[in-house]
Amino acid sequence: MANERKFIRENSKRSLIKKYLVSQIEGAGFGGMSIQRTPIGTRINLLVERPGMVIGKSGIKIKELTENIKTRFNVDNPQIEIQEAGSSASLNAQIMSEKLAEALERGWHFRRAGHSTVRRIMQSGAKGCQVIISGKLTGERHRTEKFTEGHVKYCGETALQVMDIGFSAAKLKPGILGVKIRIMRPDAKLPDEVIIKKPGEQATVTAETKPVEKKEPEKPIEAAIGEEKITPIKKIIEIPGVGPSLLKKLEKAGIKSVEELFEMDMDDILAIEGIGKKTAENLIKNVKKALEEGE
Amino acid sequence: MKKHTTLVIEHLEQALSEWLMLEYRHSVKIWKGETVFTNVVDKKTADGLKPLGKIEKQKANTVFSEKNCIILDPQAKKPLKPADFANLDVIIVGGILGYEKPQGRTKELLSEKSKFELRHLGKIQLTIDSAVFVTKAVFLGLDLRDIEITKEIEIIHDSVHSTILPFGYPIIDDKPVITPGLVDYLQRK
Repeated sequence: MANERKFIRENSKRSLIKKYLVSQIEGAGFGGMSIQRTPIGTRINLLVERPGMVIGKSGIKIKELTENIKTRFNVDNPQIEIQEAGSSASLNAQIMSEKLAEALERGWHFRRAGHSTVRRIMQSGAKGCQVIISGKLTGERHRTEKFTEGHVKYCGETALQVMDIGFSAAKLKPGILGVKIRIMRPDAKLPDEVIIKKPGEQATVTAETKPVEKKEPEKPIEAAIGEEKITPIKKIIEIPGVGPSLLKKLEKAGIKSVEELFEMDMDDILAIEGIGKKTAENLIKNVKKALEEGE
Repeated sequence: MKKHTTLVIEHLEQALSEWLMLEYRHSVKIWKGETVFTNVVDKKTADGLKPLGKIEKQKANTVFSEKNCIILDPQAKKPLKPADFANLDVIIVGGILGYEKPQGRTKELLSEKSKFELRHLGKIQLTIDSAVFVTKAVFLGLDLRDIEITKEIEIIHDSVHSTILPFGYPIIDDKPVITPGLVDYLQRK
């Protein structure tokens, strides 16, 4: 029983901290939060669109937030880490819902705001999105306006895995309007997405379609010769000097395996958005080293 | 021949909006009997409602205090039945444009302040004209259970945009009876 109580207590504390931070950093574009317990304290990772507004002049604001979290919520040595949403802001449902709510508060017509939000999300590469604005939109009877484009999953395990949901409220004179955004991420793989390869074509197995690993009987040496080893691009994160942001850029560029990256030359890598010369050089060097060691 | 009960719509909104006007106009068209708008205080609203029916500045409980009246209130305990119309002079509907979840405004603004009998039209929140439609059907002898009502309707404008109205609309021949001009209004505003 004590464990259950602890879970409830911790989760309620987590949601209270989130509520507090959302209210305190209004306008900074809150995009999500995660709390990690570390040996030296509690790390709170904040994803925001405008980090400057959270940090404040000479770090005053962030110091104040840290102190308040420590005293109000009895958090052990909190450390706030801020991540900038950057180019991924358009694919973050929470940030987009806040932006839409702000636009409505500034007097944008709901139809214009809804259409432009959908367009922006889809242009960022989302597989689908839905914008819902509800309330007394024209100051009369309640209505719910829905703007939907592409694939949207509403329920079940698939929705939990592939949909990002954000909610905000726009405070207007006739009353409060609710803004809800659902985004299907660009890398989302639906369970029914099966690519049938032609005979002889190299098969790339994705994480979702990968069957339960079975220990296969050893193949004869003749069969193994000529069979190419495929390392999913997600594994690149294990290579020193490669972080999640670089992985995202590579995935966005459509690179599916480490081997594919290895075959690319300097110009190809420099053509990927967000990768500079130094990063490209290090990447080539590290990938080469890792593959050689792997062999 | 059965005496046609008078329909009274107590105007409870602050202004006479286009949406409200559409619902009032449809209500009058459905009822096809004497219609009175009460609680019409300002001149602008009175001018707008004049072509639709009789206008009264005072509230319904004052104007019809001597008559046999029933107020339609979603929070009433008894449902409206055809037998209720036997000796009924006036049936009162609240002229309110509601929220998604009923806020009990009919009770607060209308039924609490009068001593008239109260009746409901089912659990679903209806629009003004839908309420008049259902009332008319009961007046003509139908039971509430025989009237099919949707919980909400979705009006699809194009491949991206649609509007959901979370209110009850009666269904006739598998189609909801929507206020004439409402779809056009929703596309415009």
